[in-house]
Amino acid sequence: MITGRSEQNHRHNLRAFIILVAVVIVGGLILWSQGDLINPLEGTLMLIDTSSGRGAIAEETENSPVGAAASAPERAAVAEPVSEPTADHAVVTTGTMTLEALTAELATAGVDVEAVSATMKAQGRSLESLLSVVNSGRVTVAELATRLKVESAGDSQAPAAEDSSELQDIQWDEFGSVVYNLWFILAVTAAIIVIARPAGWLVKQIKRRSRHPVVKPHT
Amino acid sequence: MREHVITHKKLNKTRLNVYLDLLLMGVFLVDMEVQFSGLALHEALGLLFGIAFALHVVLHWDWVVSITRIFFKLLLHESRVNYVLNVLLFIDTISLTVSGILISRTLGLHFTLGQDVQELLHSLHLVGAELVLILVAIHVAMHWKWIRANTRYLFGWTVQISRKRRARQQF
Repeated sequence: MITGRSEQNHRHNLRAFIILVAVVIVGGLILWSQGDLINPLEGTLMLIDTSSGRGAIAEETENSPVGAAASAPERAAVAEPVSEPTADHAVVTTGTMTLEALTAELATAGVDVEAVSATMKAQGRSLESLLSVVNSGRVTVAELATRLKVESAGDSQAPAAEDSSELQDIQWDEFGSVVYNLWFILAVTAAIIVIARPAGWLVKQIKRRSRHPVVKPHT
Repeated sequence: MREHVITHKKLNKTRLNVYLDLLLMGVFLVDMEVQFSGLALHEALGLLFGIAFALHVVLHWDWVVSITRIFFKLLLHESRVNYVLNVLLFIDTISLTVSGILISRTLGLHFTLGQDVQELLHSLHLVGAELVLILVAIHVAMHWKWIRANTRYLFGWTVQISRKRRARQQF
C-alpha cells in the first residue's frame, strides 16, 4: 500500500510538473507576442538611472550580461543605441531617450506636456516614469501620446491623488507586466525543479562517498 | 468522531495557509507594477502586503524556531538552503516595506528627508523589489510540493469528493 501511495504521489508530481512547464511555455509565447517579456534587471537599471537623473542608460544595458541573453528578440533591441528599426512588433525601443526628447516628441504629437506633468505630480507620479516605460520598450511615444490625449480629455473627472486608490487609477494596459511577474515565478520554479534532480543526485553521491570511505584490506 | 475533529482542525490551518499565501501572491504581483496600480494603490497594497507577510511568518514561527535551533547541527542541505533563502527574503521584504513607507507620497506620512536620501531609498526600493521577485520565485520553487499537494484545499468540494470516494472504496 505504501508503494502504491508513493507511486500515486510520483504520478501527481509528474502531472503537476508537466502542467507547470506547459503553462510556462504557452504563457511565455503569449507574453512574447504581446511584447511583455521584459528582462527585470534591465528594467530596474533603467528605472534607477532615470530616477537618479542619468541619461546614459545604453552603457549599463550593453554591459549587462543579462541583456545579451534576453529571452525576447525585441528586448535585445533595448541594449542597442537609439534609432533601432522596429522588428515584427509595434514596440519601438529607444533605450537612451532623454526626458527633453520625450517632452519634445509629446508636444509635437499634440500633448499638453505641462498639464500632463501637473496632473501626474498631483497623482504622485512624474514624467520620468513615462520615460522609463518608453525606454523599456513597452510602449511607443505615439501610443503614449494617444493615451495621454485621451486621459487629458477626461481629466476633469479625475479624482485627487490623495483620495484616489480607486480602480479607475488602474492602467489595465499594463496588466501584461503583472502577468509577466507571475510567469517569471512559474518559470523559475520549473527551472529549479529541473536543476534540483541532478543537484540532489550529486549531493547524495558526495555524501555516500564521505560516509563509506574505501577500506584497505588487512595484510 | 474524535478522528474527524482532529482531521478537521488540521485542514483548517492548512486551508488558512493556502488562502493567506494566495492573498500574499496576488497582492505581491499587483504591487510589483506601479504603472499598473497607480501610486496610491501601490502604497496601500504595500502596507497590506507587509501585514500579510508578518502573519505568514507568525503562522510558520514553529518552523523558524526549530530550524534555527538545529541549523548548525544535523540538518539536510535543502533545509539549510531553504532557511538561508527565507532569511534573505525576510530581510529584503522588511527593507522594502520600510523604504516604501519612508518615501511614501500618498499615505499621508510626510517624512522630511534630503533629496539624496530620498533618491537612495528609492533606488534601494527598486532593487529590493526585483530581488524580492527572484527570491519569491525561488521560495515558491522550494515549496512546490506543498503547493501542489494543498491546491486542492482551494476548492473544498474536491476534498469532500475524495472523502466520499475513499469511504466507498472501504465498503
